[in-house]
Amino acid sequence: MITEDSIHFFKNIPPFQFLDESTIREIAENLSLEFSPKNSLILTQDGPPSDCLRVIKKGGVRVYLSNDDDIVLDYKSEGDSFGYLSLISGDKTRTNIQAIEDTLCYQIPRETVLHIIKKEPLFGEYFMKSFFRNYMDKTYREMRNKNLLFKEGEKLLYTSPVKNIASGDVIKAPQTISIKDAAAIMSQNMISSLVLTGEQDLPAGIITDTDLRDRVVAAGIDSSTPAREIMSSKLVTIDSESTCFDALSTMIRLNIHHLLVTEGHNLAGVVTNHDFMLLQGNSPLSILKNIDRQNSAKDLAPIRDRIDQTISILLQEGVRSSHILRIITELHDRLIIKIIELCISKMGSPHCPFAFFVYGSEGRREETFKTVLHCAIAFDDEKTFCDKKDIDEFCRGLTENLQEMLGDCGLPEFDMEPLGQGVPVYGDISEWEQKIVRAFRSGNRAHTDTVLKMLDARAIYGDTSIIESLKDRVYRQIRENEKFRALLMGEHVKQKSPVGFFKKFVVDDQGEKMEELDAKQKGSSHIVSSVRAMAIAHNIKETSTIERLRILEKRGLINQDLMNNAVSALEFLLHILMQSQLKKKELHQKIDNCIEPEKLSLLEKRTLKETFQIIEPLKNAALRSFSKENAGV
Amino acid sequence: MGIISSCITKVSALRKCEKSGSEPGTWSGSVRKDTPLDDIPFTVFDTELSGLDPHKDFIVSIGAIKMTGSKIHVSREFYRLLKPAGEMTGKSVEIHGLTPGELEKKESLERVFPDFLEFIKDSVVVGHFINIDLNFINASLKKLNKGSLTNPAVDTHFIHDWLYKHGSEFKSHYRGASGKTDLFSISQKYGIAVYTAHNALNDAFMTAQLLQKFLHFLKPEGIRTLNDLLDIARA
Repeated sequence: MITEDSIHFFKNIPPFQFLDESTIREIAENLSLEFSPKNSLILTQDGPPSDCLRVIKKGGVRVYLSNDDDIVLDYKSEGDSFGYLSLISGDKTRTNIQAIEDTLCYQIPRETVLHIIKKEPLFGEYFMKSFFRNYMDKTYREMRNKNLLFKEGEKLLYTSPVKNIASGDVIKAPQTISIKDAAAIMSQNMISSLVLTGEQDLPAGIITDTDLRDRVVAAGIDSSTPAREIMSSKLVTIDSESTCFDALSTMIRLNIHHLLVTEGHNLAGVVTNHDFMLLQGNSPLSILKNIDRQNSAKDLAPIRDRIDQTISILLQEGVRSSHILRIITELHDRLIIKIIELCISKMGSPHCPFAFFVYGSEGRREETFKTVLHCAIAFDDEKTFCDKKDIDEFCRGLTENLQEMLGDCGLPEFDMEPLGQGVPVYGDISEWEQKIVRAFRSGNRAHTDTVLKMLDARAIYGDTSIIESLKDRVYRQIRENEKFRALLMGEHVKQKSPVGFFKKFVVDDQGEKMEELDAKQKGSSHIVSSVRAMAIAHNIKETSTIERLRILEKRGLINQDLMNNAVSALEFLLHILMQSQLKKKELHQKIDNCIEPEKLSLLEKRTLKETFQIIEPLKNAALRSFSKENAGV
Repeated sequence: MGIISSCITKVSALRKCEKSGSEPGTWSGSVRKDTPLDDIPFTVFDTELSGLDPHKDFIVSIGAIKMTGSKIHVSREFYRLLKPAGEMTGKSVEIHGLTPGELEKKESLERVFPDFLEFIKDSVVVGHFINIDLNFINASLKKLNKGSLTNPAVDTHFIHDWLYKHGSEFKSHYRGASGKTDLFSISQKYGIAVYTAHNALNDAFMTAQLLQKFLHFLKPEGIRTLNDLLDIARA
């Protein structure tokens, strides 16, 4: 009975929950229970090594180092463990562990722990630094299983191998056959694409329904022409073991509707947009197609809702946040582009090259549930002569029309005042440069925050090189000015991130408890700021934080470990934030960046705690990158 | 025994109880009296009874759990239901919830006792109002012609009384001590998870957790060895 209670306890806490029943029973059979009154020291810094792994059954402890002042490293509560490292190393205990409440701990003897590690090496990893990468998948899986709100068809789409949905029997024909014969084969077999083969029966190209429509019928080509004349010779393939998600994102990226599935060097099947649509009405591809088809902003409103639904499906599927954001950004961008196109078709194009850009999290491709559109317009008056009056008229018209159409499509708010009230939403490159530098120079914190967002500007419509040149100029000014560089890291450089969780609270190193965690302010923005600073120091124009990290690593500016850990940390923070926002959305609550620790599982808390620990080394790397950059200036 | 009613009645019944006999059997004396508190082998146990008269009534279940000092050995537990040795009254059935039909197929006293005696061998036995349980155990042993328990016995109720009078740290830690002495109230007062179902093993586990807490507060008051403990809390 008592043993069964303890087994039940261990089955619900990480990393024990991943052990099989017989191993948990083995632990329970060797377990003892220890009581430590409030304020008593359970382990002492520099004291003898721990002879057991302790798991808190009830109560809580403070982990701290005693020097001149006590430095708090962590707080632990029910379900947390301690004493592992000193138990394994046999070395003296490195920290003080003090009960901050009357505390009951299960004690697992050293021999039992060693035996389990031998059987289940991943068990030990949980307590080590390598936890982060090794347990991330388990954390995501747990998060996914928490909410099984969705239908099986929807779940299937993203995680199953593409071979599961691809048509296995690939119908092929020699590339020399006529268009007419090719169309006949497609019609007989009721297929939307035909693989054309060349020498040795190897695939040489593909013709699709769209090709027949656009390249034959519309272009008035004779149907006796060889099919190879109209085929797409660039064959896009995907390995049969890749996920449907990968197939889908390739199709979205390349704007194609057919993908050849290969097994080694052999053609194993074809996957089409239709295959995805059969599985799911909310396929991002079908949304994309739908956006293109609409002729008014009002008709785009239901599509916007479907984008949000897609986020929730992808989340429930356990798809990584970076992948979700890639798809969502693409869909949002297309939606905005469509609205701009509608505006322009109504009012005509300007005579001067321009770029419509987004900034902040949208610029970084890290925006999830879109509520406000942050955007502005930049002109290039250096290449072409631009009539100021013409520009003013176009921009005013565009903003008015945008506002109206965004409202029609359910995006009532949009911020076209990136640098505060009274500053026009458009300008040429030089004007934008001056505006940004002026705002930086003012030292006004509110302005600085907005300017920082502007540094992540990304053109989504028009001449993208305009934004690249603007960033070139601004980045250079920042690199050359010490005060600007200091502002670049924002307030984050001074702020400490949380040290951990204690029951339903988030705690900082002073022991201050907060009932909510602002995942953006206390977590992701630290990572974003440090990475942005490094990107600017090294003139990297890419805006996505994850891409910036990858480029920094590729150039040897940060090590691979730091890059991997920072990517995992940011992905996890964004994932958990999206999960919480999704729930709030479903409950019709205001969408914000706050997470309630009470609603997190122990594994989620443990993973979040690890993400906080990556912030400091990243900050240091950012500070170092500027001092290196300084030396070069 | 059931928790609330049985413990209250235990107090009054105690006055009628005789001290247990001391024939050798389950105690070899291998645990020295100067053994430090942290090293004492304890068996904390509790019984559920059909009534309170050891001559008429009988044990229906025994639950026990092992400790070393203040460490509870979670898996070293003992729990057995016994075949009724007589008629069970409605009152006792209400308390422990064990019906005659349920117990009919269980093992007899003769089968269970050797295992229990083996389990408690060479350990200091502990209980809350333990004399009642001891009287029933010894009465049963007598029926089996096995003498009586020779293990030193400690009562958590006596430890609590002693701490109530002498334990300044104990009183400041818990902002006063419990006025009530039954297992249920005392467990609640000292923050121990209380099992609502009356069960000998659960009650033994609650008692073990009481002992665990009390032992921490005895050391600062100079109670350091088995001998010291027996001086203040021998049953």
